[in-house]
Parts: sequence; C-alpha cells; structure tokens
Amino acid sequence: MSDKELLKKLKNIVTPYVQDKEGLENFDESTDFLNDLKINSANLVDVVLDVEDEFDIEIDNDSMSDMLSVLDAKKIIQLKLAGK
Amino acid sequence: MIGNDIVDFNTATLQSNWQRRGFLEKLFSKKEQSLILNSEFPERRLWLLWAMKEATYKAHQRRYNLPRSFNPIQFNCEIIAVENNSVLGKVQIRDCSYYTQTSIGKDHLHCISSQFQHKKTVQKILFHSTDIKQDLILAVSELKRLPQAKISIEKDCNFIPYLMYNDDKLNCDFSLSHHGIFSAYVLS
Repeated sequence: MSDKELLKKLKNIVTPYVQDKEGLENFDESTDFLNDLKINSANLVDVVLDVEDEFDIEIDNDSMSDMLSVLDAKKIIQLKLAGK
Repeated sequence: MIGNDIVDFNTATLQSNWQRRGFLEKLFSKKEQSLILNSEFPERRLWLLWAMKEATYKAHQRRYNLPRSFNPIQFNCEIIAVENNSVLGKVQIRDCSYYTQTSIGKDHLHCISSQFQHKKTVQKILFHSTDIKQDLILAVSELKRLPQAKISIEKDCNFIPYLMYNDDKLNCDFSLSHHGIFSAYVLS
C-alpha cells in the first residue's frame, strides 16, 4: 500500500472524531490527533479499533499507547502489515 | 501533583459507543470490566473509571514529567467508598498509588486525582465554557496575591501546562479539563 493510500484511509477513519475540522485541511504526517485535530481522548480508542478493522491488523497495548499522531499511526500500521 | 477529568454524560453517549467490540477490552482490565458490567448503571460506572484513569494519568505525567501516552489499561482502578454522589477511589500505575475523589451530578462527573488522600484543592466547574483558562488565572491571582494581567498559561515539550508570572514559572499545581458543555479546573 502506498503512503498516499494509507494516509487517505487514515484520514477517513479519524474524520468522524475530529473536533477541530480546520485541522483536517492540512492533514499530513505531522498532524497530531490531540493538538491539531482535538480528538477527544475517549475517542482515541475508536481510532485504534477502526484502524484494526480497516487494515485487518491487531494493535497491541504498547502500540496503542504510541498512536498519537498520523506519523505514529502510519509507522504502526506498516509494521503490523509487514508482520502479517 | 494533581490531575482532573470532567465527563459530560450527554456528549459521552453521543460520541462513544462503549458496547462496540473491543472497546472495553482495550481500556479496562478484566476486574474493571466486571465492575462496569455488574453495575446497575454500566455506562455511568464506565465513565467513572475512565475519569479516574484520565485524572490519574495527568497527575502521574506531571509528577514525572513523562511524554504523552495513551495507556489507560495500565491504570488500575479500585473503588474504595461510594457516598451519596461522591466516590472515593484508588488508582495504581506501576508502583505508584493515587487517590481519586469523584463528584457525580445529574449530567456530568468530575474526578480529581492526587498522590495524597486528603489534598486541599480549589475546584470549579463551568457550563457552556466561558474562558476556563481566564477563570483559572483569576483564581491563581487571588490565591498567590499577584496581578492577573501578568499571569499566563504555557505548555512544555510534553504538552504539560504550567503557569508563568512575568518570566518566572509559578510553583502552582493545577489541572484543566473540558468535555461537552463542561469545563473544570482544580488548583492547589
């Protein structure tokens, strides 16, 4: 999967949880889920569950604890996809 | 150090489907899951435990100046006493213990966590968020007897907020939380 494809899927996943829609306009690897998109911390778990469903991977607790930005998520998804 | 967390029940119901597959398992231990599922009001109990974890996460992160992490499962909650609308709890993270005091209202709950059981705090809950930061600054200026205009709130490299007076860091323990129509601060 290309980076572009992965980022597009990720953007679709996070969109329903974004509280600051302006943050979506500049969505890229540097986008932070909490600071830029103002995703509520209770919804971070939904992002993780949606990522698991979309990419058919399992995100363990250690990986989940690091998933706070688009770059973090991309790295974890690629790692898990490579391990399938 | 102290941490707080406020939960707006209406917002929580709208924004989270706690019954979706995996939701409870990712956030709560087996023991906590049974505290939730065996409760008369499972959703309320869930947000109580969540707030205990969140408030303690903030207190713990500030205490050790830790980088951010989304690791609620590592915070183990225990309910010590329930009295009217107040719940005393204990949260364990690795070898650190924290005490939580949660007040539960009709449409929200507010949890304060501290490593000390009887921590004296000033707390305030606001509706339809006027500026909570300005409100906190006012409270700090009264507590420390300093002019309000020279106090500001900054964030450090771990996104932990701190108070400044002119160019000096103020030695003042506080925490802010927003959710739905509620915002709250706690100060000690």
